[in-house]
Amino acid sequence: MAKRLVALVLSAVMVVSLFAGCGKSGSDSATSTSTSAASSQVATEVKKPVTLEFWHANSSKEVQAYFELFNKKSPDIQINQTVYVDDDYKTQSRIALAAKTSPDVWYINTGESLKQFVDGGGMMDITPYVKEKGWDTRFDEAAQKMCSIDGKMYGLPWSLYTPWMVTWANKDFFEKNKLEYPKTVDDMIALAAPLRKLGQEPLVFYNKDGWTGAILFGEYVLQQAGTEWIDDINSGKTSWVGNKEAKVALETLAKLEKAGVFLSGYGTQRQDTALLVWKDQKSPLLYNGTWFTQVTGKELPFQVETLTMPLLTADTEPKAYQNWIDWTVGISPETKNVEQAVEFLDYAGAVEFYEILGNYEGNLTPCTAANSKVNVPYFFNKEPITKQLDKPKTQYFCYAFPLPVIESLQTQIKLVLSGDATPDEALAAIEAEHVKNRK
Amino acid sequence: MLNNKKGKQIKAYIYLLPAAILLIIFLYYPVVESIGYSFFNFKNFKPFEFVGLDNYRSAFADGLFWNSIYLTFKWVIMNTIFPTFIGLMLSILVDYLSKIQWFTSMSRTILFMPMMMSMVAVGLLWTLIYNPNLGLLNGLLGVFGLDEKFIALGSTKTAIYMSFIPLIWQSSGFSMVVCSAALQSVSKEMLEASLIDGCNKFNQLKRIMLPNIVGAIVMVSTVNMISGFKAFDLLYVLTKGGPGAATEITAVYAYKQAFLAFKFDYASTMMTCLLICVIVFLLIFNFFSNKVEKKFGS
Amino acid sequence: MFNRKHGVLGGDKLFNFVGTIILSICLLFSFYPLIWMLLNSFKTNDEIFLSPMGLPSSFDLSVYAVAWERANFSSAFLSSIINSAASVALVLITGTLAAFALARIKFRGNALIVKLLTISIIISGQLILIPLFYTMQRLHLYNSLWATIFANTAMSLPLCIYLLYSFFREIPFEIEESTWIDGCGTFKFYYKFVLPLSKPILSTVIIFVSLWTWNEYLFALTFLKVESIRTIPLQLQSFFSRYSVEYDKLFAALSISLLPILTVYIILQKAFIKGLTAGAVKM
Repeated sequence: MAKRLVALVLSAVMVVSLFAGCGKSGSDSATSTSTSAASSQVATEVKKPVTLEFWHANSSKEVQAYFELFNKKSPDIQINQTVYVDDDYKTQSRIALAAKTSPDVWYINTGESLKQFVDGGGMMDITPYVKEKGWDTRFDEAAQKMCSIDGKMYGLPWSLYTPWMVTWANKDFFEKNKLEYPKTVDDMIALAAPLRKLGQEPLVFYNKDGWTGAILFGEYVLQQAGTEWIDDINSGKTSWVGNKEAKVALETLAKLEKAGVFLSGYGTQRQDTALLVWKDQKSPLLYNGTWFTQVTGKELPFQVETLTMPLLTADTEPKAYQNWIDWTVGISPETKNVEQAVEFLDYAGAVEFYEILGNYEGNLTPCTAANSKVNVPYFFNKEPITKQLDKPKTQYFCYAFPLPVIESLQTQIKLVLSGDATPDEALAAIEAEHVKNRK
Repeated sequence: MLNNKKGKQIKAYIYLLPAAILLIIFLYYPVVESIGYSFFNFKNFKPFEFVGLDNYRSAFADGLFWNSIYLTFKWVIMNTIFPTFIGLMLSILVDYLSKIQWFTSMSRTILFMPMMMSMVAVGLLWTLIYNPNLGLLNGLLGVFGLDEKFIALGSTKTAIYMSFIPLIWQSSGFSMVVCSAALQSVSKEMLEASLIDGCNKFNQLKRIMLPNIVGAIVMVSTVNMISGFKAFDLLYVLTKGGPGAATEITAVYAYKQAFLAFKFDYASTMMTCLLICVIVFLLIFNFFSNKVEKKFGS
Repeated sequence: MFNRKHGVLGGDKLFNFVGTIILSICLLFSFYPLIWMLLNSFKTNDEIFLSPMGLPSSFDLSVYAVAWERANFSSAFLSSIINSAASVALVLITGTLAAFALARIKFRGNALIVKLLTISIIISGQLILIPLFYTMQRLHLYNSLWATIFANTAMSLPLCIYLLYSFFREIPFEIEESTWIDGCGTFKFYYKFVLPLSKPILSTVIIFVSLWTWNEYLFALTFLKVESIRTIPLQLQSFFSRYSVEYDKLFAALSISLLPILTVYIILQKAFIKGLTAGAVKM
């Protein structure tokens, strides 16, 4: 009896949900067709609100609320925002590009990704609107450049000024234990053993996803070479094989790892857990971009000292910094509502937006007008950060190359760190991948 | 009569049709296409030019590919052996230890419970368990007075074994349940007779139970083996292949190559190689398991 | 009782003693992580850090409400239910028909098809993921639940047809013969006799397919883009990435994703275990 009842319930649920399933996807497609129909007839018919699909991966509630506000302000244009998780977005946006299912407005990485999206028909040239909307004066010139290819602008800069090349020290700890701040790689290595003896992890660094390794590698390359290093290697003017800067950088990474400098288990740790180790005072040093306050909060239980990260030698002067706009928001050429999309884009890159974003993370923004209203924590207003402002900047190394090369770079860095590959082997492997991706 | 037979044959084809349509569109055609992709070079996410065996050549020259195949086999072998035998052991203990009905059924319920979890949830739960700062593992070690932090997934040498523990936790229940069913089918008379003969439980197990459930064990290990080849979710969530490439089985490596590096051609090549490996491995396994069954089976 | 006293030669005591210890450890190993997860969901973040093994100071359910809302579990549950139920229905309808034809009707290619299906069990989702992705696109199924429903159905059909086939084949020929006398056609035989006789194996198929689709991750990750149709494993994964340091909520989200299926399992456990073993022993 019980069995029959169970079977009955199960089959009822099945049948009901099967119909519900039909209904659901059916209605989904229905709405999408009706909107596209509406948009093609928008000129002739009475004005119906246009719905724009908008994809981004900013999880902050303030930012999402800002876009919801747009829907209230402009009844004619409705925004349907889809918020992705960072990792997931990287995949989903590429899938959409390949499948030609991109939304009306979306955001993507600058650098090689932007090139790929422009080539693949995923980002529209917005140069004609720049003057009209005043975007040229709204943003930092360097930031505009990051969103342009060959003088054509494809998107608005859409991230904060989040420099790396710094380590964040627990000042209280260093004072209490009468320790010197590490200035060079050798200092850092010498400091590792005493710190471990004190029960501390020497330096918080995490590399489960691989991109942090690429950035760290980039720091040591850029301590030796300027921004042209990336261009040369992308164009094939120089090769990874036998590349002096790259080799030194990889060797430095291997040296640091061998000395036990990095957080234990960094190879399978992600930022969330790793950053808390520093916050909980189980490690006195953190290597991270300035956005770490998203995880740790702006108020920390100790005084923070801002240090330049351990340099190759005491007199090394970094030639360039990876700390500029890594995302850009733009319009897909497939949109049927260019005008509305441009209007929304203007809103997405408005001064108010940067105030919200800047205050959320406590970082300076590429929008100069917003910066006066952004509240920056004291430890971001220190020389190792501020001196970077006027220096040449490049894209982060985890975005600076074609995707297969980035993947290869990140994998090979992991292998060098785990001792499974020598720097030379790693460079040969990366070059083998890059050869296939140069035009 | 002949007509009737022919009519029946046609009916058979009609009955097969719905399943065949689904299978051809969503399974067989993609398999063929995937194998086809491995002979092409991709550009802009589409097959671009025929390159023959070039992709295979680069796979065979790729140390990471061989590493991933090695790890896959390691994983499959672990997956064939451990959950099966732990499940077998559990089934013997649960069915055979206690005569208290509620205890037996409660044990079974609990041991089978993790089976309900998705591999993603298992992976996420175990990242929390292994978390060096708040994790259960370090808490437990602390209880035993070991304050030294244990980084479960930190070492390239042990990461693959540590990642395997969640799988034992999750899937031993299945093996247990199947073995239990086989054990219960052993006739009661035989057991009672053996008791009169002065057999103890050890001897009973060895002489009566095990020969009777060899078939079930072989079946369970085959199922576990196939699921071992299909492993992906757990490792992708738990380690993403790291540290280094210490847990990067072929499925994870291929997924990364496909959806992070967007080398669909190369990923297809590796998955095709893996398919061939699975078939060969299965044939070998089948050959030996038949022998075992013949030797021990009744 | 009588047998026991005579049979014990000391070995049984040892067996019972060692067995009890091993079983207790295994039960603890099996159950404690789940309890730990549940307890930690009630703790505050600080409590979790200070005493990962301790008990929570209060049982406040509000964290569940927050996790439920933020992870958008209401739509995730709906999607997961639709996804599983539709896949089960499709597999049952197409699978039983196909298995019936294979098991009860002699026709050309019969044996070959059975062989092909058996081999197909080893095909992994990974292998077909990329072409399937393009197929979904071409059929305009991409980004709708139909994509995962069809993919899951196709993935589980080979094993299910094989299970059903093995079971159907063993239905005695006499039954079929007797239906001829009554003037039954093949379809009537299938639906009036074969199906009701095959309840155990049908429940195996239902349990197997619903569990597998409920927990399926790879296809869902690739084919479902809009949040409103994303299934539970996906929502759980993205919740973990998004709120990665709010541990209490992570534990709550994990518990939420598990509790319904655990409840169903505990209520129906006999059917579950019986169903799974019925299929397994048939193989």
